Parts: sequence; structure tokens; C-alpha cells
Amino acid sequence: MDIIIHFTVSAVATFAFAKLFNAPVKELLYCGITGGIAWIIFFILSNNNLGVVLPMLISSFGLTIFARIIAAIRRVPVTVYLVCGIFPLVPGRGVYYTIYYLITRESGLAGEYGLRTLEVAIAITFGIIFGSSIPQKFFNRFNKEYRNKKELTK
Amino acid sequence: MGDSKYLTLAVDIGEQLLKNGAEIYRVEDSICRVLKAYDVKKYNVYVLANGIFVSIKDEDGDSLSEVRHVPLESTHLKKIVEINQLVRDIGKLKYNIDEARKKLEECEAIPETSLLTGLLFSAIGIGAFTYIFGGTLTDVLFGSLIGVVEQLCVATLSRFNVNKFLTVTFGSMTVALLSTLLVQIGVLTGSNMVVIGGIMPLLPGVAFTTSIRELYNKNYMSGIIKLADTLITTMCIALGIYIPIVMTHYLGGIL
Repeated sequence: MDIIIHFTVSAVATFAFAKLFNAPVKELLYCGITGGIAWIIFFILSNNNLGVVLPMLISSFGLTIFARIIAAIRRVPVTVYLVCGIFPLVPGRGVYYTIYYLITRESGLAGEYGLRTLEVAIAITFGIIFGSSIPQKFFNRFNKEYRNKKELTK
Repeated sequence: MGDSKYLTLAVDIGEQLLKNGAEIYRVEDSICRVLKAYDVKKYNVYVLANGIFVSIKDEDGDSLSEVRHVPLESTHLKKIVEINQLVRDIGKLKYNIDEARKKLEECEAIPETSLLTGLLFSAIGIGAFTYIFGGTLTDVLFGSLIGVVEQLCVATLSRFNVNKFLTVTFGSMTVALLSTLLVQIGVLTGSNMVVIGGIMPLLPGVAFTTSIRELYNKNYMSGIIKLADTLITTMCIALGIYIPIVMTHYLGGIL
């Protein structure tokens, strides 16, 4: 039940921010779904005691894959879904708590959150890199126009 | 010498794509496709995150070039989609030069989200994020309100062309200031969730993602440009949070 609520709410949140990025109206729903999927993968994994870093890696990998699939199906540039879908994953919490604990002079916690922010950033980086390294040929099978062209030239 | 108008069209298309947040490889690919469609024989394209350099050689062997400085602006996804479609159609030889130029002007004229709609969607987005990051319903409510004030502040500062980094700093300062004030009055128990939700629109998610993709595609300069943008923006957000909270702390307020 929690999963459904979190998916819906993060999809709504990503949908709202996609509108702020002036996404075309037809793609807003898919942007929302992409954000929802990115967050839900992280939510499920981190609630199963896997910490924060590995779930971030896997969910940004999943986000890149899903964004590329949807981009091929809808024949729209990948940026649209990737840029909107990354929103739930960005480490806002890490930045805030690092500053907070610096101010309250708890340097141990500040260091921990600062390091965690860095780790999350690196995890997201590699998630996107691994997701981008899958050759485009794999995603072209979802692209109707590309498939039709292939059949014509056979 | 007739090729110069094709060059200008191609570079204009590239500039529009770059300004609105497209990836470097997409900009380079689009410029090449347009030049190829209009039968330009030899061309060389180099695109940076904030500049376009194109040179062509026409049949007489004379070189023509165009250089554009493209300052980093905000992302407009619909324009990217429409211009991408225009480039595909030009590649299929659907338009002559004047029709293509007119189509490009139509794409440039696509409006941005209006201020009121933007504020409404910010409120929804920030409230929703505050919830999934673990906020209570009070946090969500006040988070949305503070978020709207912050977006209003950011929009006003941008209208007056204040430096982007200062705008971000003042935006996150507004969030932190308002939420600590609410804690002092006693309306909120803790300012943590509200601030985390409130800084969401300011966080450089898009700059970060595009910088990774550029570095992955070996466009090192562009990747580093966007990475610098990400780092400085994050530091500005951190500074904006720091100032109100440290003042509250040293004035003996509740944190």
C-alpha cells in the first residue's frame, strides 16, 4: 500500500516539475511515470536494508533504461524523460543535513552526511553511465518507425 | 555563395536547441543533418555547452564560417522536441529554406509556462516531494506555501536579470528564513522537511545529469562546464540555507 502511495505521489511531483520545465503536454504523463518508477525502485531497495548508495545506483540505472525505452516508443528525445525523472533522486536531504550539522557543531554527523551526498552523486553518475552504455540497437526495437524502415529495406 | 543562408539556418537551429537544453551530440547531429539536407558538400561542426562553431566549404572551395556564443539558459523541453521534429523533417527534404525558416520561428515562439501556472505546479511538486521525503501533513502544507513564496522571489529576481547564482542563494535563503520563523512562532515543530522540500526546484538535477552524459560522450569541455555549474549552484544553495539557520542558532532560537 505504501508502495502505491509513494509511486503516485512521486509521479505527481515529477509531473508538476515537468510542467515547470515546459515539457510538451502529451509527454507530461510519461515524465511523471518515469519519476515515479525512479523513486519506487529506490524506495523498495532502501527499505530492504540495502542502505542508500546501492539503491541510488540501481534506481538511476533503471531510470536511464526506462527513459530510453519510453523515448524510443514515443519517438521523443531522451532528455525529456531523463531530466524530469532524475528529480526524486537528487540528494537534497544530504545537502541540508550537512549544513545543519555543521551549524550545530556536530562535525561527525556533518561529515557523515557530506560523504553520503558525495557517494550518492557518484552512484547516480555511474547509474547513468551504465544505463547509457547499453547500445542504442537494443532500444530501437521499441521504435515503431525504425522497425517499419527496417522491414522496408529488408 | 548561396550556401551561406543554409549555414545560417543550420546554426540558428543549433543555437535554439542548445539554448533550450539539448545535449551536445544532438545539436551537432542536427546541424550536420540540416547542412547535408541542403546539399552542402563539406562541413565541420564543433559545439560546446556555450558556443557553436561551424565552417563549410562551397563548390568554389571558399570557406564560410559562423561562430555563436550561446549563454546557458533554462530548459524548455517542448522547444527541443519541436525543433528535433523540424530537423527530422528537413532531413526528409520536406521544407525549402524559407519554409524551414518560418517553421523555426514558430518553434522559437512557443511560450513558457506562465507565472501563475508555474507557482501552482511548484506548490504541488514541492508539497508532494516533502511528503515522500517523510514530512507530515503540516510540513506538506507549509512547504508548499513557502515554496510558492520562494518561486515568486526567484521569478522576480530573474526578471531583473540578477546573476543566476545570487538568485539561487536568495531563493534558498527565503526558504530557510521562512521555515525557521515558522518554527520560532511554534507553527512547525522542525524546519528540516520543509526546507528539504523547498530547495527541490533549485537543486541542479538537470545540470548534473547533462554533465554526466556529456562526459560520457567525450565532450569533456561541455561536461566540465555543466559540472562547474552544478557545483557552484549546490554551494549557493548551501550558503542560502546556512545564513538564516546560523543566525537563528546564535541568537538562541529553537532550531
